[in-house]
Amino acid sequence: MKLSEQTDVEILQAWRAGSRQAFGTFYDRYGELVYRLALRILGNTQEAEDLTQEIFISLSRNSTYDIKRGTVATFLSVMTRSRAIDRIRKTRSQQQHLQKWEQSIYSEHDIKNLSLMENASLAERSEKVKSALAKLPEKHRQVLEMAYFDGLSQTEIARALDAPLGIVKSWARNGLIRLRESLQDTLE
Amino acid sequence: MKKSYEKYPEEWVEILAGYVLGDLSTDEVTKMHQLIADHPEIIAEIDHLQETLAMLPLSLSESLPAADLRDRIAAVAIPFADAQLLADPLDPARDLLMPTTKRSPFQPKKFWKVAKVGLGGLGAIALIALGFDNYQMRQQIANNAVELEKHRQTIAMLQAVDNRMISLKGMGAIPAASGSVMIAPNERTAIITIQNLMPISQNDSYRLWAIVDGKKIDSAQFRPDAQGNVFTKVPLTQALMQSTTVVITIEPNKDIPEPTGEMVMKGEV
Repeated sequence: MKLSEQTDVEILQAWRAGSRQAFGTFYDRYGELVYRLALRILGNTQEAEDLTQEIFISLSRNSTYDIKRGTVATFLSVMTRSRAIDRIRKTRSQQQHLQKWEQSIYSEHDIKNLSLMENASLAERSEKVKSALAKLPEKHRQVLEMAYFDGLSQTEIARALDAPLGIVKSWARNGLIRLRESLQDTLE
Repeated sequence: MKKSYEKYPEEWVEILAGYVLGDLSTDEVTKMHQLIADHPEIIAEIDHLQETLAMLPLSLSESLPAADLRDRIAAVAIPFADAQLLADPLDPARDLLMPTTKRSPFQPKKFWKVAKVGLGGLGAIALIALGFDNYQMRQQIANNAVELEKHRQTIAMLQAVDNRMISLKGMGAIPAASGSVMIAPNERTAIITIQNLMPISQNDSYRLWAIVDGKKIDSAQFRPDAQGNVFTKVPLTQALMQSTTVVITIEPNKDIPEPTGEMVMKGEV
């Protein structure tokens, strides 16, 4: 079977067994996604490349990824975000709730559909998520992005947007719920 | 048919979203515990909200990393083949050895679902913490077992009778380097051990060439650790098995047919 026809899991196993070609296929599938997220959070190409490398090294060892616990794309997103935010935290005050949030994603994250990513290409899924986000009211989207990509607490967001905390909370929650509704087909 | 997210009152779903976003107030935490106790199946909705959040990075516009990042990562993130899988990793015959990806009859996901439903009354947060710890612990025990097995295999490999050793001596830029290549034909492995290598740029790696009939054949690629040491197992190539002379050069991280860099180590049987 050609590498391009193999599932992520098979390719990951071949890479971990030392296959250079399997690494290449895996990198071509996901390298850009990891880099894209790292760059968005860290805001610096050098650091984003550095983190991308760190994530791939970590993935090449057996310690962190359990195939039964979710798609590769989602796993990589959670890991990249978590490590990127760890990095920016070094220059920012700690926010306890963020840690809880990440931990809950790590622990609860338990996706059944392993073939999800293999069925829809990264580009197709990107388009779906982009159009779902575009449908959100501006503030809802903005608050979600500030929390997710900038690692800001809702109190910090409320301050930055000069809006009451209760409103910010409601924007974020409703934004997430609407997004989930738009992405219904991708999730179930 | 009602979609799953329409099954629950809006107020409930908002609490679940707040949980996923990490912004629940104390009162809401209590409410959420009650919700999960009364409707354990609601956990599936939490899963969906978490997956949704984890999809946000897909919305970012394309930004391509430097073209050479792939090669740089390849140089450091391709593990050397495990002892039991030493044949060429791309050899089709090896597929027989590859673990299958089919799920075992015991599915952790189902198990956790059932466990969560059964214990719903304890409250999701406590459960999540518990699940996380258990998961980490099981993972750690599994990792330790794997590591131990790898060490056992290495020791057995080093003790085999028909092994032969090629001593390596530093030259040129790194006269203080020394080491060896142990050829273990039974295991189809070569073990490279070197000390006092100099640090090199991220874009480069050390390359071991086996000399056969005057031709230099690419046989391994590696980078030293921060102390300048290398201890690594590589699949034994035909060339390495035949050769009595090897050389090491510093090369850029890409496929090259023959050495381009200065020779920094040499070894003869």
